[in-house]
Amino acid sequence: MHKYKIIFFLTLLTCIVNAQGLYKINGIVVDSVSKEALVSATVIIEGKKIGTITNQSGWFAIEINAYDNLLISLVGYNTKRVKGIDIIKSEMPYVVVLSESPVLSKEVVAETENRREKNLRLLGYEQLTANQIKYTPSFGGESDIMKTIQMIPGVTSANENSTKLNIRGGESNQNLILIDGVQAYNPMHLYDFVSSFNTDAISNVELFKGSISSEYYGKLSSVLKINLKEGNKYKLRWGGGISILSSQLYIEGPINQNISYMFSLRRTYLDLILRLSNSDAGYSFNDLYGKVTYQISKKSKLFLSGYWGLDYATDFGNELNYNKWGNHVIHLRYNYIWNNNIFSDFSFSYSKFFTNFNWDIYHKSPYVIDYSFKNLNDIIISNKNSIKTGGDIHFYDFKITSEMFSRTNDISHFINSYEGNFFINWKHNFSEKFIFEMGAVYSYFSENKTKEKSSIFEPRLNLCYYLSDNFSIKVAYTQMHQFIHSIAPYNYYLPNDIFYPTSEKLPYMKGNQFTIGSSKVFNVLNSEYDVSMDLYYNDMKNVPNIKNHFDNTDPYLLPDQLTIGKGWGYGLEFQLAKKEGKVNGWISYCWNRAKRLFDGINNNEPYDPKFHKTHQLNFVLNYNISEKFKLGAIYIISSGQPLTLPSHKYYIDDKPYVYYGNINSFRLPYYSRLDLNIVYCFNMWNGSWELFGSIFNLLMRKNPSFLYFDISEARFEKISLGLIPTIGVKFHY
Amino acid sequence: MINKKNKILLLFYCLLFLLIVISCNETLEIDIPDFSEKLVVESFLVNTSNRIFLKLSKTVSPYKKLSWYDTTLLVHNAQVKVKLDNNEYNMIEDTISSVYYNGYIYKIFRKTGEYYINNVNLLNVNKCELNIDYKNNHVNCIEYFPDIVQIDSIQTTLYQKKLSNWSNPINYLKIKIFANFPKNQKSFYRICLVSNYGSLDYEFENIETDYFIHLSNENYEIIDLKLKYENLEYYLKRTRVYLDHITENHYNFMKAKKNQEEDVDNPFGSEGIQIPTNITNGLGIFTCIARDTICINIK
Repeated sequence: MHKYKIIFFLTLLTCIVNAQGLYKINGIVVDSVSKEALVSATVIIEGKKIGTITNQSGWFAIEINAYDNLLISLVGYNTKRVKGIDIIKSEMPYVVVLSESPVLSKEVVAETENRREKNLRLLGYEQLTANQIKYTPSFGGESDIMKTIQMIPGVTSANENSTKLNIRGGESNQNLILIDGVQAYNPMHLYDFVSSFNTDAISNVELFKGSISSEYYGKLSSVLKINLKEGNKYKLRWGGGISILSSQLYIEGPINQNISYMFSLRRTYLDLILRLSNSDAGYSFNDLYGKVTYQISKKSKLFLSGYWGLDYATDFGNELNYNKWGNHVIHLRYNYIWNNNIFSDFSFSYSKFFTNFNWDIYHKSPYVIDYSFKNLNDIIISNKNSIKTGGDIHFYDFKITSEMFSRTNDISHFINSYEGNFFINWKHNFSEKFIFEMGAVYSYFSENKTKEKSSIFEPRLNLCYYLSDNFSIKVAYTQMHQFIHSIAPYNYYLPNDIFYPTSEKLPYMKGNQFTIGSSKVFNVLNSEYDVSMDLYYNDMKNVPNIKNHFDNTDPYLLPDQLTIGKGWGYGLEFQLAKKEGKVNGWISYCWNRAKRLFDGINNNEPYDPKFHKTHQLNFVLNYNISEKFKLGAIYIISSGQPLTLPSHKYYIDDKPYVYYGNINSFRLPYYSRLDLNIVYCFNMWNGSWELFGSIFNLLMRKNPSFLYFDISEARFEKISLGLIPTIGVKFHY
Repeated sequence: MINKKNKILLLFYCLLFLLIVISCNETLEIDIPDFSEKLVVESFLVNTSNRIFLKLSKTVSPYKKLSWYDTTLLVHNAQVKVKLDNNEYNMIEDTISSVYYNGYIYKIFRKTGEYYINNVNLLNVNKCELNIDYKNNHVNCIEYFPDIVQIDSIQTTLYQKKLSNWSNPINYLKIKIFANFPKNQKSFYRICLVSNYGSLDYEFENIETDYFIHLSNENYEIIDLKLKYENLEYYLKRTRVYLDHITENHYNFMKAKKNQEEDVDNPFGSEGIQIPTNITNGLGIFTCIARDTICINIK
């Protein structure tokens, strides 16, 4: 009964209608070939400075006059013009079909309105399509989302080969990584060298690093959304690829008119290579993505998606020794279009990250399980007002185990906790020039063991002012919190992260970010360019860090072994991008500072974190030379990595030890790297094939991949990756 | 038959392989920061002992290569004073008169950098103060003896665990110690399994295995101790367990020391694990231990 009351109330809210003969319409934007819904497409009324963006199900709602035309566009697709009268006469939701723009076609300069729409997006928002990621060169020829995202200004990592992201001075565990809307806790393979995201299964990727809508919460630094493909609804497609690291296979297609599916499997064969080379060590990783979409009716849709990833390291000589870890994600989602104004999404999800470590006498098997139920509602009141609201409930199950076998009295520590969130986001167009967006999140967290309860109210604000149709200034304030801590002892490249909830001794993290930015869309020589500049400041409180005497032999005492501190950062980011056309890519520059301050560390003085690079200049180029040849290139030049130098050496019990000077007070020489990727496309055996050759570090600069102090040799040793050529093949049927 | 084109390709790949190999590992040149030496203290005062022992050395530049037996690190002729509550003692530097090497005994006279006092009663001492003067360096430290935590009883269980299919099982001893561990407060312990070996004339104390633990609220502690020798008869000799109540400084020092051992020389290591010290103007540790001992029978 309550449900109907709410719907009635929301419908009433939307009845501020039709004063000027406006018709409310809603629709779904889909791909012309696969018929999959397109996320984040822009929908604008031609000639008027009014528009919207499609939601996670490709849905939009807008008020139009009968004589209006709608312009619908998305990066990589041809802009489509639809007559308002045609939409009004049609059954709702109206389906808009966008066709992919051929990359070699003459570039069409977007309409003025389109340029304005590009400015409509949130501050610090970036979107990458699967194609952009696919052709960007990366290590081992394995196209990697995380490595491509590291090319975006404000994004760095502590190590050249790591797929972890440090965004605007935040820690890598402060990013909310969502696979189809469900949080993945540690989606990395091969000790962080390869991310878990298989590009064959992905539709697109969205990154929110500045202004974060109140729809997203739970992590301090940023939001990374990985949207999976729904599966081709028109015909069966399958394909795969072979590279030096792994092989992939995917299949997608319709079961009937209403049901489509997509499955993608990837497996590395490092274990087979290691076995052939008589190595004692074995390692492999696998991942499987799947999604089934059921179009129940024109207004309702059901999705079942999942991800299963596993890394397995073993000692061939001894099967009792193994270490496996992975993520499991299952997501059931139902969405329903109530009317021209309201769209609802209900979902249930299960997400688990686990480690099972058995090596000689050591054993540990910690995990975190997150069961959640979520509701999301888009309410389009008018072209001037829209509301997004909803909430979720999470039930967490943590197992924290000791690393040592030696203490057997209740070696595992089980904690249950739950979290509830409610959010509301209101967007209001004050005038054609001024857009105001305000939101708030209320979160409640309870930890069952110590009965510790926390609640927080966090505001969000986003203002946009158009100086002209293609030039805007935006200001944003975002407050974020994080109840689930991830503690990584000593940055080992093992997934030994310990997930621990907020408790009496471990308060939740809290962060603020202020951003001011401007963006302009302009065209030169029939090509369209986006230029943007962001200035940001952020701070973080209650950031945990492990003490020097950290000891993981007693999971109960974990909070006692952490020191709680703070961090802050500020910076300036600049980007010039050409997102479409025969030649596309971007140039970005970022100047930033990041600091950490912890009690008892670095003589209680602030220091630079390991990932901090003051200057970073990135070039990303995708050049479609012809129908057959494609060239991808990236070039990075940045400040060197900070390093802690030992200041003294001494002997205790006849063993050498070092005493360190100030943390990260020394900087390595600058970092620079050029990678190339050439793709040759051809047809064979009734399928389309791509043969690619990739060169990592073409300039052969000896950048330090790993650096360590050899205490007995009394010198620093660095391990560098030289020039690494790889070849591979991909095929599609 | 390899044609010319394939030969070129083969040569190209060989060249690439060579480039990868030669560009893999190198020594990094770093400007050495200014260095000024510090005194390093290593001293553990046990309440059941009647001897105080202190090892004094100095730091060197971390970029100077030297070995553990390099005697230039030792600090000789320092003025080392220990004040036990209100009684102050001057520590004497030890000397050696001969060394055994390669089957021969060589007569030498050398100072060791190890300072000692014999015949002191530490049982009822509360406060210990250390003062060292060496050239222009002055270091000091004040530590307090923790209370003795008495062992009420101990349960032992011997078991074996096979770590791989081809290896012999390893002996482990599970011990459960019941003691008057102080409740609702942080306390730190070293649990140590000790056996004796050697002849009746000259018996050595052998520390089998020891663990540093941090307790907060239990009245017993269970721990698995790995036995080094496969032959259990070895342990039929006098075997005992030490329960050392230690200071927080001592615990932090030992844990950080172990963490640094695992972290340094490790390409995947951290930003550097600093070993804490309780020595003002110096490095190392000066600490007090309250020990309780219990003999056990391994069956």
